Amino acid sequence: MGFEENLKKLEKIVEELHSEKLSLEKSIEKFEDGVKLADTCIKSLDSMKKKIEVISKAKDGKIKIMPFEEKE
Amino acid sequence: MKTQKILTVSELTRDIKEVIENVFCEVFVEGEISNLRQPSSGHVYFSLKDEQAQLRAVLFKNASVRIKFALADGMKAVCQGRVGVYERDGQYQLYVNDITPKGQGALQLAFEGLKDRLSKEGLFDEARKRPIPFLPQAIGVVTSLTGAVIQDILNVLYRRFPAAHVVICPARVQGPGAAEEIAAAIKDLNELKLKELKTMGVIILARGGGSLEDLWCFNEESVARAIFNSALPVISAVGHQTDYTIADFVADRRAPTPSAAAEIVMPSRLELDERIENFLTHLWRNLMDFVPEHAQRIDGLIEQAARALRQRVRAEEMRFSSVLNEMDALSPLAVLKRGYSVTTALDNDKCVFSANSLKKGELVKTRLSKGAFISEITQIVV
Repeated sequence: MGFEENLKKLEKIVEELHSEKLSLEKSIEKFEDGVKLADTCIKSLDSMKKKIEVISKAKDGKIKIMPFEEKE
Repeated sequence: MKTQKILTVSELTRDIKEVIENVFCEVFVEGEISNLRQPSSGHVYFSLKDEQAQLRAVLFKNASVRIKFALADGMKAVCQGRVGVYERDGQYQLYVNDITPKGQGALQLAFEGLKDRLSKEGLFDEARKRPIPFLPQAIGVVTSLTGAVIQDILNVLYRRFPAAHVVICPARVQGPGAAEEIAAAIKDLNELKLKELKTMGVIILARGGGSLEDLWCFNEESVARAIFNSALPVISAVGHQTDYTIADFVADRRAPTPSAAAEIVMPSRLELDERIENFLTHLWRNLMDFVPEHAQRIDGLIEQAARALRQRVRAEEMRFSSVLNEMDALSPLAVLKRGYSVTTALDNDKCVFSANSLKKGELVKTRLSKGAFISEITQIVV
């Protein structure tokens, strides 16, 4: 599941809790779902790693990926 | 005849070379480019012609890198260079040092012509434009490795999201061959997307500001086609805000500057965190609103139930005491209280209902409201 979809789902849950008359049970359920989604979102953001690569092409046309040296 | 000096071909050619190269060591020639050839060596060969004549011309690789726009057959240009003789072929040609397009009008015309043609073909159709993914796992960048643009993009990307994955596909962004390199870079990134870099979600095509000639490679058909054929959405960020290139029209999104492209591609981590935080706060607040609301309702129900029970008990109590009263009214003791008495036979305690059942001298017991007495029958009155 993509980050964006999770974020949209979370948004929807907040809206539902806000606007609809739900039973206590149902709203606690929704609340739990929401907290889980928020957690997943944060985790997927945290899982991303900084990486800069540069592509070079060998004479035989093969593409190579190498780390990029950042200039300061 | 004997006095005539006989020259070898080489000697004559050398003499001609000397004369020509001395006289025409720097010339400016105006003409129309034709028969343009650009082999992989990097040297560029063409003819410069007008209505009556034509001149062979060569633009060596080291000079060609200075040319900021793409040459094309039919283009009118002023060439600066020297005339030299190529002895082996016995030919003279123009060794071009620099080329200036004949007026901006020529480039503008070429631009409008291509724009019109590609537009009619549907390359700029809005319906074709794809959305830019919200948080691409990897970002492809096509630009020159030299210059500030790549640094600007990296700076903005990492300021917004400290963990972005960037894949740079370097390409020259001006001069002859640049368009081909850009087109190849877009193709390469798409190829990588299919293999090693499945996470790549978007391509940024960027170049800093420059003159119309500088930006010319972004007006070339090969670049336009590469963008059009790219499976990955492409954001173009060429030159300054006011510069529009063909690439901008074909791209899925145009950014006014390279930094702006980086901003479009990468959401800010801070903003994302705030958004999630905000949702969580809303969730809590909703639940917190919800619990007391329910608790209150439950309290209310309990209170109602208690009140109902109390009422019920009171009703039962009242009914009970009224039954007691009724019972009381029926009790023989109550009759006695009103002054009546009951007489029973002394020997068997049976109530005496009729005087006829009594005999003279018999003993009877008479019960009053308080106490009783025993009496003897002395006379029977009927």
